[in-house]
Amino acid sequence: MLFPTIDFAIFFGVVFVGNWLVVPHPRISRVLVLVASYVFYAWADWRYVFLLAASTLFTYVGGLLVQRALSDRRRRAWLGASVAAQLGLLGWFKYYGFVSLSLDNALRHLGVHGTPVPLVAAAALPIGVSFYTFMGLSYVVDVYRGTLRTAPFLDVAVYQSFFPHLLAGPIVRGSELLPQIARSTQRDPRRIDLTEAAFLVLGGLFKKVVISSYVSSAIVAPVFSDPSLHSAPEILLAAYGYGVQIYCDFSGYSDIAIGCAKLLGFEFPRNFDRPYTARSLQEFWRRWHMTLSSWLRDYLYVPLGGSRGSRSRLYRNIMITMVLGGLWHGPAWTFVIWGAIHGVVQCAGHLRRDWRRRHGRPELTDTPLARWRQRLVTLSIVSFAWLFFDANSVNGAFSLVDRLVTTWGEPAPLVRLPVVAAVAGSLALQYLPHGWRAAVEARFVALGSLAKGVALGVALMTITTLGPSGVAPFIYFRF
Amino acid sequence: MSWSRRAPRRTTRGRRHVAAGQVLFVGLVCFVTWLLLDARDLYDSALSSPLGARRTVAVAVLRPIARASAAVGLDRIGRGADRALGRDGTPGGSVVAVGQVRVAGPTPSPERLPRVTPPSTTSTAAPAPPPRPTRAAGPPPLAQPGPGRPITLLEVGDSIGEDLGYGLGDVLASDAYVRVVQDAVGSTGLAAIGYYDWPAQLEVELARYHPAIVVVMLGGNDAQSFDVGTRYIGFGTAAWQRVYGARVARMMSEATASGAHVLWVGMPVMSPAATLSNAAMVTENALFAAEARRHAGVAFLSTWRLLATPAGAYSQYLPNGSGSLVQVRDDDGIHIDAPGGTDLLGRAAVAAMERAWRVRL
Repeated sequence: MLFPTIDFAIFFGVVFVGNWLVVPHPRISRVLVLVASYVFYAWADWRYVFLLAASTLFTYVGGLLVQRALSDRRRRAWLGASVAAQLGLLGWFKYYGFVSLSLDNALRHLGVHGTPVPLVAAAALPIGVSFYTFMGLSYVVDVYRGTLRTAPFLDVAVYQSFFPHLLAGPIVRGSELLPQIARSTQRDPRRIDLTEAAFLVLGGLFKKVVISSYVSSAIVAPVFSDPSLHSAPEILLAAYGYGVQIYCDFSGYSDIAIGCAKLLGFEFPRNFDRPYTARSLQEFWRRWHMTLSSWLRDYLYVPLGGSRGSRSRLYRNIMITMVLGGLWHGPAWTFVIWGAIHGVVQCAGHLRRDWRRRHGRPELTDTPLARWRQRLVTLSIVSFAWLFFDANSVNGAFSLVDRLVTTWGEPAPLVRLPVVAAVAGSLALQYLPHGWRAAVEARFVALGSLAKGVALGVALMTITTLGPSGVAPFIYFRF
Repeated sequence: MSWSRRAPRRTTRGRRHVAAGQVLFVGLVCFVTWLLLDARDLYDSALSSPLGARRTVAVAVLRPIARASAAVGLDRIGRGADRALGRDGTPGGSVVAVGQVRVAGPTPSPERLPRVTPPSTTSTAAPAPPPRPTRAAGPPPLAQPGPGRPITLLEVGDSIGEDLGYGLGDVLASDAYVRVVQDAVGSTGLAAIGYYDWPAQLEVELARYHPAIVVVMLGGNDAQSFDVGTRYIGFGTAAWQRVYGARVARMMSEATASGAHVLWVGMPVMSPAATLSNAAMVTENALFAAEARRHAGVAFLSTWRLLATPAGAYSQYLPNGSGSLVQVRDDDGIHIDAPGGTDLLGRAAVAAMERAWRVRL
């Protein structure tokens, strides 16, 4: 079930009422949320609920065995087994085809022509598997580190399957959500932050349905699907456009998830913080998909050694983290290259800062002009890397890069003022001061209930009207 | 429960945190306001959705709301917005013309040329519809495109047709004399023509682009029942075959009457895990092939074997021309993956056209 659909609106209405009616009953409350989450997940394909259940079982049993182990050696062994089980599920469903294909092609290049590596014909990628696997892993590792106590099975099941975060995050840590589940009877049905939740949900819908869809259909999809037919100006606009599209799509989804959780009395961490205002790639990753970047930092980069040790170790750790972070997004070499670009540029940033420090200069020049230059350079590097992220293949990505350099004289019919305005305007919106939203929210808060409902209804109608016809939300078609 | 009773009326004014009952009230008002303002579009959307209990309920609920909305004039807001946005209610997908002239490129290797024949039907295929009069003569022979004789190829269909369009665009990108217009639109087909009327839209496109070749690939959304007037037409029944076949025939006739040759591309085998049934695809393919036989100037390309293992089974990965395994299908088990699958399909379609009409593209 996807958020911007009538199905979800009705589903959420029912869950909302049930959730608050059973607040005084902790067990019923958890069971209700669990059943609702599994229904939500089964809506598209019921078979994958078994995968979710298996992942939950691995998480719960893994945490229990790690906590109850009597020696460090056993704790490490159970941790390793639990991580292997979780990653095994993820690997089978998400990476098996990619690995077999790469292996098969590598063997062919080496002149080994044998029986092709067996491929799974019918395995389709289960939605959300990367997200809930990472949540399960963080739970077991936190138990191992002693920063989290094991929770009852029902709590772990709710933690891992809670429907607002299930399909696309945010990746919520056990330490963030489990205490809220444990204290769920203390949620106050008279203290719901309707204003923030409504702004998050409708703002997320606007970003996803209106901006992301428009930019995608107007420039990104045509260019990325057929690079050979488009000129440099179109590819350049598509690169920046894809940055806007993926930000609006993903942050919009996160906003809706956070808003829905808030309406049910749960708090999720923020996932995006105006990433295109970043002045360096390091800062970009502190603002982009924050729950993933902090996960990679805490469970991969730091255990590898982080910035401790020699510079070469630092660069190695950055590259491993970014490349695996890239691969987390999907089983393709394009994602590996995307991660590698981010890694290389971050290493280059460290080298540059070291050089400046040695020469007695500040790490970053801090004048207004320099700040804007740094932002533009960071945005451009991120946009360049998106070419690899969204390309159909590595060859397709290099074709985009090649044409970006060589086809400046060719016509660019897709570069039109409305598209340029949409892309530039969306980027500019990131620079709006925080105060504007507080001012709008204050006006909304001052309205009565009826006026609030009408205002939200008009806003919803505006979103559905501005969204292109055929967008998934309100049309009952499968494709 | 006291969560709604304790909160006095209108306490949301000036308060950031409110009671669940008031959130519910605000949500309901929001939903009703939106329903009233957007009732016309929602009702139209419900009408064009696949037949079944879901559609019946949606239509029953939305019909009186749409009437009420029209009675008080609320639907004018939506109509006005649609007019302002240039949506006048006629079907019209976004047309991405890719008409740049390119230099000649490689032609498909002969060993990969598919057969341009109807697919072998299985026992699941329903009987063909009764013969109907066909055009005595098809379009004039297709002239070899060349200097001074460039041609336009119009590609239409659904989201799988979009995949084919990408493949054709890539394969023919280097052909200096073939202009490819990709006009496939996702979520469309010939069953729900209330949502998107392809026969009507094709007439518009034919007049607009004057194509010498029309390539059609659709059917992914058509394994469904539909209404004709007040009559229920169940999927796969003789009536369904008659009506659906007439729509297919109309598209073929329109294109050939305009002087275009038509390549109708059949649906590929679907994954057993996909939401589409292969039996339905076989039914549709049999119908496409039968109609193609009745229309001069129309060729049918079966993609069943092209996108299946030698044993005829679905596979997400297949060897490409050089023997390397490539991903040819998306994770949903339905769509064609780019570039592996779209390239394979695009080359097959070009090869089929070359064989059928004795030209080199």
